[in-house]
Amino acid sequence: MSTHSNNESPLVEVRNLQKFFPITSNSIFAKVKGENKAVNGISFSIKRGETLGLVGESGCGKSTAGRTLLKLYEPTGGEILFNGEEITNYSPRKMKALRTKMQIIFQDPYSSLNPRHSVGEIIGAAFTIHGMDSADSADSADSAVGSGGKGEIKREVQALMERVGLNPEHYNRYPHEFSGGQRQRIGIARALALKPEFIVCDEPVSALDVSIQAQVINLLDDLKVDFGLSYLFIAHDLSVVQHISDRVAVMYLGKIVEIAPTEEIYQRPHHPYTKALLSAIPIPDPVLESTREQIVLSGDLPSPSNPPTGCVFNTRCWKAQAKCFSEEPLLQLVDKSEVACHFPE
Amino acid sequence: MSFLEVNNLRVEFPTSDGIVKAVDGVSFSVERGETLAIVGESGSGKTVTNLALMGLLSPRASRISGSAVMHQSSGDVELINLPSEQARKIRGKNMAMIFQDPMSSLHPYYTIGDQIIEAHQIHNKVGVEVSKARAIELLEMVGIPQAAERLKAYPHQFSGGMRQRVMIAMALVNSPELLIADEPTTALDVTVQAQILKLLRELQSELKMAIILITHDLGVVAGAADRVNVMYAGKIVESAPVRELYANPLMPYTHGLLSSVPRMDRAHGTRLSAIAGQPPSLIALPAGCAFAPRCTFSSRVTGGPSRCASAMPELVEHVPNHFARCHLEGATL
Repeated sequence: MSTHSNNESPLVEVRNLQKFFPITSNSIFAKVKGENKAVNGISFSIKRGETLGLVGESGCGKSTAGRTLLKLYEPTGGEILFNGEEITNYSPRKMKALRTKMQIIFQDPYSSLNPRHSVGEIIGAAFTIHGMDSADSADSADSAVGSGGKGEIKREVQALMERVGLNPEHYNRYPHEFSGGQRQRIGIARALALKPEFIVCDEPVSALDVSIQAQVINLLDDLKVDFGLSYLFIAHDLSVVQHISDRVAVMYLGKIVEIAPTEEIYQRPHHPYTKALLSAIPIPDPVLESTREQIVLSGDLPSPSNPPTGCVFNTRCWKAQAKCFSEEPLLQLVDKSEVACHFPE
Repeated sequence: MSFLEVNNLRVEFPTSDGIVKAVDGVSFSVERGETLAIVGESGSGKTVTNLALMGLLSPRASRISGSAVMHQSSGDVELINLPSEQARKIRGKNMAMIFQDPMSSLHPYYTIGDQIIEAHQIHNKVGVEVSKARAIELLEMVGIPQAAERLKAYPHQFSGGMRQRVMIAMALVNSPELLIADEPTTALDVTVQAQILKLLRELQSELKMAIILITHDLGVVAGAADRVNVMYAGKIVESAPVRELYANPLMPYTHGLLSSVPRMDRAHGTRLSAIAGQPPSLIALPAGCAFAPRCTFSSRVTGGPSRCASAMPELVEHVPNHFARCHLEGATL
């Protein structure tokens, strides 16, 4: 379903990706009662050097999508391609080699770092696990070079710490000695250690204060250029996503409802949900806030175990008609955007 | 005379590492029907200020001084160091608070109805049926459909947004004159946040409450507040009507906060101007301005950065109704 069918093959591509979680009864002979369709058939691609923003409200499946894409969850269906190669059915061993190329930064810098490991151990673990004595040999990831030179690893880790804005002298400190923003920098250094090509950023700044948030966003911006990275940037904060992304995909109840270049989606949203979502974001300007029109959606997100038939948004949509309840809209091109709606704006 | 007048409020927590000055001489006032927003980052003292007003800080763990007088219709009352017996009579009746996390602030074992009815029964000598009718009335007011049936529901049967509505209903059951909303929408999704903020606006114009809105979200402030206090390291560093503050911030910290927020109405791809460094430790506050180590404007101060580092500026009215704590004395940033 990708519109980017030019010669240049995308770095990452997913086709009709699905991830269902079984819902089991509460007994020791757990019976599967149903399925939570967290990701229900999504397709997108990310080009080299591109940042794709993935936005939506809690429970829409955006984090599951990111983790399934990295095969941290086993996909229920669909295909995942990395560098043009299908990795959907890769064995854990084959995946391990590939993980030097694809990494993740987690949301919560408090729970994603082992409190009993020093910063040096946390960041250095990447080198020891992948049997490299220095990051320079990351290019030849397959040639396992024993776990030689501890001093070498320390030097690499300290260089990384410096690059992400941490004091290299804090090599032996533990996570609790750092603030939230600094911890997120540790998480970023860990993800960068093996010189990956692609990083999934799963809400990397939502646990941080505004002034610290800006520091981390700027850092991610710089690293992208310096290391030639591609990001899948998952967030619920649309202003952050707008800032960092080249293209944006909006998810609702396990589906992508709209995917478009950033400028386009923010200036001309075509899906009613995108429109409502954008209008709900408060703008830090009291004059604008008092004049602009807001669409306040009624109701809550339906359960992903029992999504509505037809369009997933039909329970909250003000434009819904008979067709929306019977027939599921597929992504179609409207101007520069792909929109899954029977009656796009 | 304002409805609530807070004067030189201080809250200190003695710890084994030293004394944490969480709130360091804060003075402000709130009018009836007005929304005062208190903005600041984690640890700036915004929540502790309001816990002190509510009498929710343990007297054994904290030292509170200063004054906060609430001029209610039934007479004036001093809220600071109020004996707990009297505080209980006011709390939940004349003043109420909504908390950030609706998941953990409702009791999971009691029904929604039980919890709202209890809040009404404690302060009113009426039959349970009367309280029940009031609970239904409130649930309807906050937009919960089939209110009479939902009284029997447990918190886990509600979504986050619905739970926050229940919290609001519970806070308003005794028609308080002052409502303190501590990050009421932070745990909610944007579309639900919009619903809750709209609800609070409508309820305020109907009930003429004074609202103190604590938040770190400058977007929420822009849409919901009449006036804003910006807090940093336990002190109010700037205070102004909302439009004036956003148009003409006089304190470098406010200026930095406003320019570090990514904004949807700005061009995509522009670099954010982050504030370098981190807030100071509340145990070892610098002698001068607490923001001085992170400030990029101190070279413009007469006397230079050394003055900022050594002398704490006062909160001064530089423009009518616009106060700032800065040696730049109202110069445009």
